[in-house]
Amino acid sequence: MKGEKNIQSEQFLPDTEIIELYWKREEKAISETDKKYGSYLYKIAYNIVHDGLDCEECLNDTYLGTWNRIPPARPSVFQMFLSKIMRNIAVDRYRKNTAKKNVPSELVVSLDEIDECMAVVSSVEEENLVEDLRRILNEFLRFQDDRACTAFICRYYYADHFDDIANMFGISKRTVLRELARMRAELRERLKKEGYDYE
Amino acid sequence: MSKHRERSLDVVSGIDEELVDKATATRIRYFKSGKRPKKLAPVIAIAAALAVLLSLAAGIIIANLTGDPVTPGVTPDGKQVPVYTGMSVSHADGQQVVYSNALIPLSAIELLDNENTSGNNGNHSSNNPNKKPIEDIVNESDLNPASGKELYYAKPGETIRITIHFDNPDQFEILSFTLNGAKYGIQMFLEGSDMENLIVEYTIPEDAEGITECTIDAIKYIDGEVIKDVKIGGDRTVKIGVYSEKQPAATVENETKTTTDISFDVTVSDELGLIGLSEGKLLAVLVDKAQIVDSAELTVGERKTVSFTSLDPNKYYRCAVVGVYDAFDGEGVTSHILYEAEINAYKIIYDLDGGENDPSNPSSYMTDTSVIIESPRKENAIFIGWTFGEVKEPQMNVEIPVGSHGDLELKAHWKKLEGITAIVDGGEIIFKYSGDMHVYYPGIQEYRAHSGVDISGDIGDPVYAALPGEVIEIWDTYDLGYSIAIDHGDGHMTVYRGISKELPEGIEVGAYVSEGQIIATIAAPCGVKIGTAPHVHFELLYDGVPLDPTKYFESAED
Repeated sequence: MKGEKNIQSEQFLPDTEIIELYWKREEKAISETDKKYGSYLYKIAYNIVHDGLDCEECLNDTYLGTWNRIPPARPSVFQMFLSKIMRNIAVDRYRKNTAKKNVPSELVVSLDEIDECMAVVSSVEEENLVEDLRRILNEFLRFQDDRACTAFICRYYYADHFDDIANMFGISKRTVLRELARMRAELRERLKKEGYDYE
Repeated sequence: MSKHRERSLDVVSGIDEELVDKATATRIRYFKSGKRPKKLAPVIAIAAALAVLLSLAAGIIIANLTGDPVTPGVTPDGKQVPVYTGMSVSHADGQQVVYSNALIPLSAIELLDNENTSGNNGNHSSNNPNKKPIEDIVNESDLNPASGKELYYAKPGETIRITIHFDNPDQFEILSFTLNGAKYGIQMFLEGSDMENLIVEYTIPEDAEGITECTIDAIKYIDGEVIKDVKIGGDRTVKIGVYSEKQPAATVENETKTTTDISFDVTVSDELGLIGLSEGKLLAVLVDKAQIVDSAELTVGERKTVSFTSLDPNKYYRCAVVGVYDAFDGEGVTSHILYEAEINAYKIIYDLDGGENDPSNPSSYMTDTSVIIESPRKENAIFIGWTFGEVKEPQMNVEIPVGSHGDLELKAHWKKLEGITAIVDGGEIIFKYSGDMHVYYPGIQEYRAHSGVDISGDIGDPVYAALPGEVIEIWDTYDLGYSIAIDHGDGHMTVYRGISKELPEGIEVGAYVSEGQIIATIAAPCGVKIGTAPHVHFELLYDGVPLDPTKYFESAED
């Protein structure tokens, strides 16, 4: 099964060697990627699409996307490179799925939390509104300390569960909840100061 | 997706790459190592050392490495201790996982697609927007239940499957655990279980209702010869919704309605807290055709006066109290109507005097829709019209126009089917009705049924309509010559056969004729009536079945 670890501890190829396999167009590159990062990537997908079959398909699409990008890319941090591809693919799959049905994933829960900030009333065209909200959000995040900013991105970009975020920093889940709530309240105030009203 | 959810996703997806990379690096470190931050490491090392010392002192003991759910899971010989990460619930066939509180373990679980049945209640839509169920209208609107939280549901007494998930890469053997105090051992793990996903059966108590919780505890595994507690890294409790008759209900008082306003006091009770559990909604809505034009939020347990005013008196509206929640009935989070009222809709009451109403006649009408009332039917009687309100003369064709208000009582008036006017002046019956019996036709010397009566006259004598009605057919037949049929609108029909094909002016298909009006003249006998005296063959039918007309003539000649 995907991501299953053997009982004997496995030796993974270093990232540089895996990337070299992509450059040499050797298909072993994909199996080595899957062996080393399959479980990690699966988790990113599952947070977003909440379905085993869809996760498998996202994995396959990620490997294909990686195969198509390397070369010419030679990522310095391979796992980060893979994370971003998988996240985008999973979000696309999520958008497609939600057109047909509710998707009970962690992403949905996290989006509903941030919705309290994004539910602004504006006569501006949606595309331009999103652009401006992004600008304000990025400026806001740059003013946060590292931990707060990382927690925010883990929660709302990767839809990580509160427990994972808490474990990441060695803090309690309650602290995570409090911190995210504070940030949402501050972001809301910031948006009001930028002239946005709420429904 | 609701509008804001899509917007939220678009916005967070645009976080600067530099910020995302920084956060991703932290994520990677966390997921790669499984390590605790350094500041807590010494505490864990001491706990581990103590456990080893104690185990050396006395044979097989139970060592507890848990307490702090985030202690690192590394045994002295470098293996990762098993960590409980959560539970999933599914139906007994194991084919659908519909709820999970689990962190995904390092070995993936084969999860099949969860058929989501929420939101669409099936094909209720109708071409008439006034008929579209309010549940569907709410489900398809911005007030839709997509943001509600679906919970797993089961029935009382149902046996379900619970999968216990572990992060257990070194495959330590899990020995036992308790679920709501009941112990589960190795012999109870179902086929398909492995050391990272243990599957057991669990029966929902018969008296369960609302939310039933299942809590795991005392999870044991074996490390060599030592039985130890599994670390807890997930929610110990999974919630299961159980359907109950105790659904949310609305109590409505002091309802007042005019053509432009509606108001009422409503209190919604929700004994099991289903609306809160689903993070659903409770609201009053005003619907115009298939659109929600106004709404008001309600709170469970609070009495509120709902008022929709300044409505268009020439429009039909519906008003409803709607709860959006998961009723644990398998439909997921969806709309439920707790109370419904109509504005500018009125009753139509029929007094049929023993007749049978036309199935298309409605029992109510809306002020913005015109209604045509069809004629009822009654055997052995002719419908002559409706009276209603100030209209005292029976009217055959009644239409309720747009803009009407008020309940309507319609009374049907009938004329007994007797005393039919003579079809031919001075005519006599020369060949009787035989029903299904075959009788001798002298002209053709054959036996056949005779479904009407032959009334004598001279060639060219006028033939009169026996009853008022509409000419529906004029045709030529080989056996009975030229024929004309009149529909009397209430299931009765009269047919006149053996007539001349030259018809009086105005007699054509679609023409209305009155009782006693000349509709034809007698022709020379032909077909099966050849050789007989000149006559008109007259038939009276009800629902297509020939009757004996002589029973209804004013002065029947036997």
